[in-house]
Amino acid sequence: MSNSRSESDTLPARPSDHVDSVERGAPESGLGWRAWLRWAWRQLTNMRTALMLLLLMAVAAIPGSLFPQRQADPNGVVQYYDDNPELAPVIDNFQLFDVYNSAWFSAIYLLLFVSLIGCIIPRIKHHAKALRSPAPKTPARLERMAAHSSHELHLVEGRTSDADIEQAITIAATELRHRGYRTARYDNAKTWSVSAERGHLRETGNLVFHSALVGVLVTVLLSSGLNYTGDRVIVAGTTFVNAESAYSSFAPGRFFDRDSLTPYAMTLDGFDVEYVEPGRPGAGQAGNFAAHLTFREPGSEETRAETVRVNAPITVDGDRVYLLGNGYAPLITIRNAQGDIVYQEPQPFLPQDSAMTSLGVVKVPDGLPEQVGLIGFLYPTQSTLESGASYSVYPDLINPRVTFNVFTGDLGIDDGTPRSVYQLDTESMTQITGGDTGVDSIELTPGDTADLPDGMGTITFEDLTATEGADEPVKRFVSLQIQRDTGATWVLIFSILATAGLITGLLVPRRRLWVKASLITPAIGDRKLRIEYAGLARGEDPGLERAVTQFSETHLSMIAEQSPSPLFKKGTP
Amino acid sequence: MPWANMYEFALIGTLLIIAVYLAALRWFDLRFLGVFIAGMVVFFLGGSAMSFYVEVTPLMDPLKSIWLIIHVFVASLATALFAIAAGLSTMQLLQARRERQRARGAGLAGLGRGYLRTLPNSEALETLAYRFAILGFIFWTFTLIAGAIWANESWGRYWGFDVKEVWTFVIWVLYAGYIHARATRGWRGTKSAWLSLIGFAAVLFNFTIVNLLFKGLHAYSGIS
Repeated sequence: MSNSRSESDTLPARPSDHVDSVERGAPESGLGWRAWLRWAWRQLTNMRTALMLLLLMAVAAIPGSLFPQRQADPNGVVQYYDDNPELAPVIDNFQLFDVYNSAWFSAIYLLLFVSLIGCIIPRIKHHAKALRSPAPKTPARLERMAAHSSHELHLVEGRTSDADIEQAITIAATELRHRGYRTARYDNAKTWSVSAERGHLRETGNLVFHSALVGVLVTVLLSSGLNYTGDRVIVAGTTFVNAESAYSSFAPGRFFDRDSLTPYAMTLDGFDVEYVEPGRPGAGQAGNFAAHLTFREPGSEETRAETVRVNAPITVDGDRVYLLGNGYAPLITIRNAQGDIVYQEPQPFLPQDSAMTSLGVVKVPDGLPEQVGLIGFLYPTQSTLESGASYSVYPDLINPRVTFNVFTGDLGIDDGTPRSVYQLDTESMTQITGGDTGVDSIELTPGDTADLPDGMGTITFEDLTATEGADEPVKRFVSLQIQRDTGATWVLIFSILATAGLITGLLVPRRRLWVKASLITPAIGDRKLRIEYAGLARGEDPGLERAVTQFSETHLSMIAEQSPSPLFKKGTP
Repeated sequence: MPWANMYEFALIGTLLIIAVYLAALRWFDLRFLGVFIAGMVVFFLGGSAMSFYVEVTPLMDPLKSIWLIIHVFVASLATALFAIAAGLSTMQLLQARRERQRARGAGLAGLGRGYLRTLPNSEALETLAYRFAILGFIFWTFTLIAGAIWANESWGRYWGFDVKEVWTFVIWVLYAGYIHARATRGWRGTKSAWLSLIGFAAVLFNFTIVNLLFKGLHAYSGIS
């Protein structure tokens, strides 16, 4: 690529190892630290370094897909620790469970962005100047350009003046301006020329793209501290008040203001779901989930009904509410030997498979001779394998049944340790039904009551169609994710900017075009005029030659048709 | 819309490879690529009919969204463009090797495979490959953004480093690297062509291995 002094003024200020720029070497030895610092900075902001950092980032992102990540799959990490107790801590040491927050991944992308910023700031300055400066001087030898054509025209003796030639070039300049070129005239005694340039949008797009990427990163880094995400399970008919303590899990950002949660009340009125009927393809597949909620703002009696669906979250007080999951919450009643109720709750059972075989835990800390814990399975449509094991064949409540294994001992909650309501720590408990105990598990269909072992009392699986006149014997629950994301809108705006910049930066051709007319006065014969058309591309420009040819044809016919009568005749080329 | 599982995606993807190829023939003479494209499509179609076939079932709830059409369509369009770019890069590498051998002057006559003599030179092939790759890159960027918008509607976050998101990002970065490589002195030519091939290998890896073996939220292969 040619790179004369006059041109480089309006060319993008590229890193020194860009294919379009002049190569510079390392500083001479014996230079001061400033020179070395400048050299190091230039190394960081050059193309090769950026390329290496890009490729390094691609490679560094891969382990995050090989190992479970705490952010995306926290249970996977726990599982990994269980499966590989020796390897897991080693892997954890390398932050491979938190790849995208790890020191080494952060180092790569921060260096990349420093390199990027170091590259685009001088380019922005330079580009701002280039946008205001005129198109560069017409080169002396146009035939050296990538696209070039030359035509000789006879002048009509005595009628064609220099002013007419100048006019011909003016026509070219006007036409070029119509085509979106910026033009500058460079005339002297025997040559007239117009220098035209277009495609500053290419560099503009390029710079917008890279700046927008910086915008995305900065927005993500700044806003993530202000956000929160919380999960909450709500059983039909119950109410959730928006407070941190009411969440099943709550993950606030570092700078999240805990007082900023609006304590609105949210009631689950009902939950709709449809299943593909048995015998059809995809039988049992659930769809058209809809959670019907009622909201009440604090200090107000007015209520507002909303429906949350999959792919259609709702917005409440600036926070978004998503429907994540659903399941069954059978109402279990436990009475002691005297017949007093010691436990009665609709306990959410977490679905384990697509046929909604669900697992739940019942904990009875008080009221029975010992602390009792029960691990239960709910089969919405129960069937039995040949081995005698139960399983669910269909997710809807066709033949619901629950089974319980009973444990006695210490629930581990007396000392105030927070325990999950979905897990039973059986370490200091004794199993008394099911498994190897020789006592059958308790099995209940809706409305059934069974005796607990050792005469402790009874357990009932309430049938809500009988007790409450409900449509279904078992209540449903939904799990909702409630979250605030302050940066999302800005991330979207920057992404759109980046895409727009990318398209213009890659697809808008950047080119220069020259039209030059010069008089040839041969020793004998007519004076002739040579008109040259030349084009030069900057970056990828497949259409350059076509553009030059097409323009030369248009222009030649334009000047040939000039009124009143032809001033230029086509001569031998 | 026929793109809810791997089999259907393979159908739409191969259809688009052919459509893009035929459309491109209007502007560029790419007939030399015909065998490569046809071969690749036959391989993909055969492979997915044998291994990925699943019965048509009603659309799962999370997939019922306008973004399914946008996200999956641009993803397959980008894949089609990357496939053609990869074909051209392969030809470029073969042609560059032939040119190197010829430059060394080893056995002028009958050197190399005959058909390469009829192909454009490696530089022209590289320019073509680059043009398809940048279009693919633009559509891949759309895929990323459309996916993020959809994820924000569906999963409650626009980015969560789900395995599929990670690989989409890796592919994006690889092709960004390819585009930069072409503008970097010393990387234009053979080296950047290899990057294009690595990028396409990652696309294929993302579609097959990641779908089948990795655990993540994009579990729509339909294969259990």
